[in-house]
Amino acid sequence: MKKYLTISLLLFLFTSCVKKYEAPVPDTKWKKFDSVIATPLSYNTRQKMEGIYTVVEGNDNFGEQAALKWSYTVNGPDTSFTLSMFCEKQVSYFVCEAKRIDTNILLNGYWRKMVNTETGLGRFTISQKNGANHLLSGAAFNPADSIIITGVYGTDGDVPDKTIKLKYLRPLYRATPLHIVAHRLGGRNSDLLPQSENSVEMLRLAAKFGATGVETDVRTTSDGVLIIYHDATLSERLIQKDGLLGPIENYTYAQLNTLVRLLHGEHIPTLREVLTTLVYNTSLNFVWLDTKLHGSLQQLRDIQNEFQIKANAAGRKLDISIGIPDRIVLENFIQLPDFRNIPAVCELPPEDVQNVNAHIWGPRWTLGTQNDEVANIHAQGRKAFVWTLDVPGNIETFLKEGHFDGILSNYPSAVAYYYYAQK
Amino acid sequence: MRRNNIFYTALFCLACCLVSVKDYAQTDSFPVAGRGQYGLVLYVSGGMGYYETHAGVPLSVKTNVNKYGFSGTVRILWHPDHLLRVGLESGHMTFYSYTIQDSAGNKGKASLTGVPLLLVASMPLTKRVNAFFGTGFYSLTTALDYKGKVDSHKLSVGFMLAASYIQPLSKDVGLGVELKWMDAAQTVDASLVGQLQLVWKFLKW
Amino acid sequence: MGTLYSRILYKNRTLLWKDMKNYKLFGLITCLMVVFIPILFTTPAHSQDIPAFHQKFVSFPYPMDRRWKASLGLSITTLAEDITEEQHLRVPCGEFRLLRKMSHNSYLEGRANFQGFQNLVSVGPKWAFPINDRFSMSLGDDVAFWFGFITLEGFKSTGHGFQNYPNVSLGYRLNHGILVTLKQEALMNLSFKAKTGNTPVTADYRLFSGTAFTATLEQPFYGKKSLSLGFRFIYTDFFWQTWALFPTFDRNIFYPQLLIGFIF
Repeated sequence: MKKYLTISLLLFLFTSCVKKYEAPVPDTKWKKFDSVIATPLSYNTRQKMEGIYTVVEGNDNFGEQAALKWSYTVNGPDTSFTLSMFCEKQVSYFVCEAKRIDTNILLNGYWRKMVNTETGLGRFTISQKNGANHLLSGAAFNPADSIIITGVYGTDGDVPDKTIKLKYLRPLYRATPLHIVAHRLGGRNSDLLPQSENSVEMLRLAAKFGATGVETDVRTTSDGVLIIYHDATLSERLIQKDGLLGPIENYTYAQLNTLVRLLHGEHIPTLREVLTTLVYNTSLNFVWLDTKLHGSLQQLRDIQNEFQIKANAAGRKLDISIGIPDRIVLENFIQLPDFRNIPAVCELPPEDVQNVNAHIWGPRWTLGTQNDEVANIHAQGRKAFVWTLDVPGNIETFLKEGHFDGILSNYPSAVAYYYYAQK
Repeated sequence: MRRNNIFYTALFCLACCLVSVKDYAQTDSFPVAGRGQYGLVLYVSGGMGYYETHAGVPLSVKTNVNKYGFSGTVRILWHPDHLLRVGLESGHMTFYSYTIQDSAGNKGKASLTGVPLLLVASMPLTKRVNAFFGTGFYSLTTALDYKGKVDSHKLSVGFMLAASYIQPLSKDVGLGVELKWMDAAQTVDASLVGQLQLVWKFLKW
Repeated sequence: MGTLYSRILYKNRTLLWKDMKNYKLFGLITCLMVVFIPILFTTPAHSQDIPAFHQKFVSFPYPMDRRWKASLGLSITTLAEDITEEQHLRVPCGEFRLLRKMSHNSYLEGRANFQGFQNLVSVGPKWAFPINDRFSMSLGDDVAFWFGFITLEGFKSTGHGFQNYPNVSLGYRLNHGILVTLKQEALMNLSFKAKTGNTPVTADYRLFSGTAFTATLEQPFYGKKSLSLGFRFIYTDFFWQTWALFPTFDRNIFYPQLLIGFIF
């Protein structure tokens, strides 16, 4: 009997443990891909690769279809291009670089499922006979030409050995434009992303996750510097432990900049740093400045205006909007000179949107698709963005049954999949 | 991992003490006929704590960490007529502090202190050894003096585990020592504290 | 101890020692095991012994002597940061438990957890039997129904679902009326339905949603009143009290729970 009881207690051990979750990006080194004979793809080739693909093999893990889309970031004189594959199942995606070797195209990267911690390597080839010949030629793309991407994927850092095969189906849907807005500059910490939420480094990843725009949180330091940070306090979920606690507004920028690091070691960025990166290093076309300021919005307005001018001068089509999440911010907003001409996202009811002449209405998703209200907003020449929509089934429903112009999500890859996969 | 080790060592000790309950001969038994004596007991303790979790410091500056700090406790427990006692505990403690020197030569210091506000349950393990468990909040304060002074506060959920030995000095007064684990769990700040303790049963009915 | 576990784990190919480093409760369970294993080898006879049937309990796995037993108390759950983010909350919830004797070894247990805007009721049979003078065990299965309704900006979110908790309890009777119970439950999600306004919320929670481990101490408190004090460690991908936050994670999250109850 004692033996059985001991075994029972051992069972308690095995089933009562709490795991600390991590999902580190695996090392994507691939000798063949990194060889000197591998060269970048041309613009034409990249464009012809975009589309909806059927997942012929590997669909048990990634679903029946995937949307392949390119994005880029600018790093000084260099521009790096990334091909993302937004898959149907469990908010999964691949993030790949692409090169050509002779008449073959190679894709090298990693995959991740956002709802859990599953990740691994992915390596693909488009051979000459499977469409590379055509993709690499200057000829226009003919939908009748089949592109077949074959490859392997693995788990964590293991050498990939499971087969995956994708076959071109149709072009990406773009009939009705949609802003895919990533929460907190790309994603939140609880989703175990490789960079901290609301960091400049996360902003550089946003487009790879499918975003065309970002949302971020603006706070102020005790000496009046506008910074990007979500929580009201120096929170253990956002920063590396350093003994500094309490409201972030208690600290000066110099103190925060020297002593505080975000979870992955980045410093807390200023609003200026984020907007500089946004304008000059990304292709994103929208930013929602969620205002967590209790006082005057004049400085925020000045910076918004300054960077709007810079974006225009750089030929960037960028919409920098001030968020109005509550009545306190609304009161401060209407104190701004010429407030009716300031780009803004108002989360309050439509009558407030009209009163401040916000060009975007931002209702929360739990209020439903609100088709009548959205139609009225559209009739006034405004747009409607819904937040924060994360449940994949509901993303699909809002796209099918709703008429929003933008969706704010922690899972921009899921929004991207359901949007581009529309017929 | 170190923090977990210490925590579970403390828990292990407490759990082992629980086993000894079966050998503790107490005058009360259950079910009782009528009501026994009730009392209110005040515990006043003071001593030193050693910060046991990872003492995080800014990595971009030179720091010198002090993990020792004073810890004072005031606790009031209701002693009913059976083993379990309940009450409240508060006090003040320093978790850890460090000095700062940046590359430009600027100097500073920071400290993290806490005021626990805990609901406490206690059980005697032997006639003179008691175990305590508390749950509640720690009101934490960061005092930073680097490029300006900041006092900043945060409330953290937390708990406390302790064991004490009390030597009676009279019928209602005793002197004891207490070993306790103070844990502001939310912010992952915990100290192992040793205290001298004065115990006074100030009310009986 | 670590070496022993690593050997066992390696042999079973379940988990390796390096994986175990990530498990926060490892030490806690170790403690509980170390407490209970020596108890197995102790002699039961003692002068302060109070038989179980003289004591008040609702968690202790032992045949019921009375037709009805009940307790009223609170559960306080620390919600996970992954779900609530900067709000690190301890959420109190009323708890009422009612036991009804069915036969010598069996009884029905009903439980109601109530917060007003979200509540859970469960009922299930238990089969309890003494192993020896000190130890006893029970096997049981509870079917639970949770439901909630929250009105936000004029829009009502509603949700309900069925869960199933097969469970096993192991009890040890200490002297002086102290009863220690360890309980293990498998958490199964049978259904989840929720709506915000008229929009159904789709969710894909696993059938085998996780596990819960409870350690409870039941003992006389004052006069003839008895108190139940417990810790429940819930490890699940869906905790019913978070339904209105519509978490999307397909990974088990830890919810520690403190349980306090007065036994009638």
